[in-house]
Amino acid sequence: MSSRSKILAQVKANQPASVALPGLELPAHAAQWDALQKFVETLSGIGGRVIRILPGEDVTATLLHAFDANSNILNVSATVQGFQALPDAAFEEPALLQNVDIALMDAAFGVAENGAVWVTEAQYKLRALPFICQHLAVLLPQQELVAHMHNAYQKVQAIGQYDFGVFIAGPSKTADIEQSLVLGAHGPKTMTVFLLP
Amino acid sequence: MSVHPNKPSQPHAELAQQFNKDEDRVNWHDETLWWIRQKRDKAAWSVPEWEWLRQTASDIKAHVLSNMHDLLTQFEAQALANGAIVHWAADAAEHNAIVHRILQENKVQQIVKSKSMLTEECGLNEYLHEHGIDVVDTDLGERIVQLAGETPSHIVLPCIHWKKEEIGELFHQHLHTPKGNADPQYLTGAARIHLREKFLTRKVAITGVNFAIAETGEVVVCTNEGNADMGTHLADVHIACMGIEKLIPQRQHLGVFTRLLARSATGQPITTYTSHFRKPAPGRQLHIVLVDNGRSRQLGREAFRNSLKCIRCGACMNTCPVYRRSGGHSYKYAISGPIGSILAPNLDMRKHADLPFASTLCGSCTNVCPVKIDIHEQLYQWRQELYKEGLAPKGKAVSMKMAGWLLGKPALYRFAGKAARTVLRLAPFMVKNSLNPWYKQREMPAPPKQSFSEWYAKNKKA
Repeated sequence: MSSRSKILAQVKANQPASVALPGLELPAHAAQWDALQKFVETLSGIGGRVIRILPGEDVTATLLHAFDANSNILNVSATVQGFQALPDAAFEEPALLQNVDIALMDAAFGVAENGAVWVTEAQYKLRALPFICQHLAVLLPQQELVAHMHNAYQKVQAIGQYDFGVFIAGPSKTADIEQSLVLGAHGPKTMTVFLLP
Repeated sequence: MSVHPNKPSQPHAELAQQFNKDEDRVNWHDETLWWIRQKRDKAAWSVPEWEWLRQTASDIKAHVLSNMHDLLTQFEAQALANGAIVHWAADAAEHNAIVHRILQENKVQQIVKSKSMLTEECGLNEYLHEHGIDVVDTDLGERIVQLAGETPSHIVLPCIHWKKEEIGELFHQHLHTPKGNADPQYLTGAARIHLREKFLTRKVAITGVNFAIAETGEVVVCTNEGNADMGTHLADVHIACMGIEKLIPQRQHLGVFTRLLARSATGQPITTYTSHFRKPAPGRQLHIVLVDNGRSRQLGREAFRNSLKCIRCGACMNTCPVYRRSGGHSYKYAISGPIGSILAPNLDMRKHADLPFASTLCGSCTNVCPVKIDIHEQLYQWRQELYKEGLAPKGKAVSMKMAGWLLGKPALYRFAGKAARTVLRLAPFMVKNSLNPWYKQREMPAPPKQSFSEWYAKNKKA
């Protein structure tokens, strides 16, 4: 008998009588927030940076102003034009992206309770990009904020299927050495979210 | 280092005693973990519906455990449809052989691995090392213990028992950082450079799995460092290793678990990365290894079934007064602390018979568990199982037998009590000596002048 059949047979023999799934309706006393305020507060609290773009403001100019002038910016966002494009060769060899200073991409939405943004491979083209860059820059329309992870997954379902998708909440970090927080473990050292009007 | 894991013959109490020789270090270990427990409390209390989340998570997992057969086959079918390759491993040896075979098929001898307690449980690193494969653990804490020739002492905080000066010395030896530099920022930077080179060049990446979704066939991996993503997205082959209990029915259930996991583990609102792998990237491979290794047996043990709900947050360790003062290595098992003491005897009752006794049964673990596992009650249940099997620690078994015999004889009990009070008063050295485990690190209480029965007999007339 294969291990598959063996495991499945033993699981079937040993599992108890079926227990129904619980409902997912939040109780009445669940937290409620001003999504925008909570998002900014939370993301800033976990080491991220939030820059609000005002109506009529030049996004590109604000972007350039936010980073070191010598940085190279690789742009896969559909919201702004210009900067460097993703080189075709990177699809074969993603390690070529190791010298990207700043990767600029659109996020589908953000989550107020934890400061995370949802991005999918279809949106930013190449899986490795938001991890291998030194700094991550994300464009997010401020009306695209949900309160918590329950709403977040409803939104994920509504947006449609993905091959790879990730919630990113702030820069990569570690506290493995004596619980001292260090931003910039293996991925980006900073994360900036530009909130669009 | 004062702690080494490779002494499996010593019981927990002896290893804990060794750990306790360095009082300053024990106090520091204790306080660090308690601080993390406090961060967990703050994060949990900031969510008014926290108890609803815990109950819902526990109920979802109860559904999973009671429908595991169908959910496993559903997951497999979806994963195959997504283009993943699914493997089934009955035990640790088969898991290790499957991983090794995938490496051979891809002609790869150097790999990266992000944190996976399952691979620790299976002894994958040692197995691959014996077969000439170079495995680099990429979680910073895991890399530190790997360079030191140790195993993690905590499932979330692998090198919680290491001081920064010791890590500075270790990095000086292995990564050639300047001697005496113990700055966490600097050392993390050195590790970043060291590990980037591995990420950029290695073609196979192994990860664990936090959640596997039956409905969609996808696996979800949570990290703060980004090491699982750096490994997998830069490699040609991703091998995701998971215990069969990691299943959840639908994607929407992640809404519950992602709110609980990081808050319970470290007090963060969510991990930096919550990565959802549904399909392999074009031209690349995604292997998913489903591992039983005793889980289907635990599923059939009614008293211990709920231990399979565990989402590996580590909250029970951070709060445990025994764990905090004995260190993870004293448990001699990949999953230490209260939950590990339930899981380990399922795999080998004889080898791990000491672990269910490494607890005060205070119940703090049960109170913080995000999926409401009745941890301390299961530890108590294990003790009864172990007595029945004749595997309880000898000293405890003898003293319990004697206590049972004495308590069954009231006259003798009264005499023994009087004798003990007299001995403590007149000859304290009979009790205050190294043969009495209660006298270790404790003062004996002052003996009362009379027993309760004597006091009652005298006072009821008045």
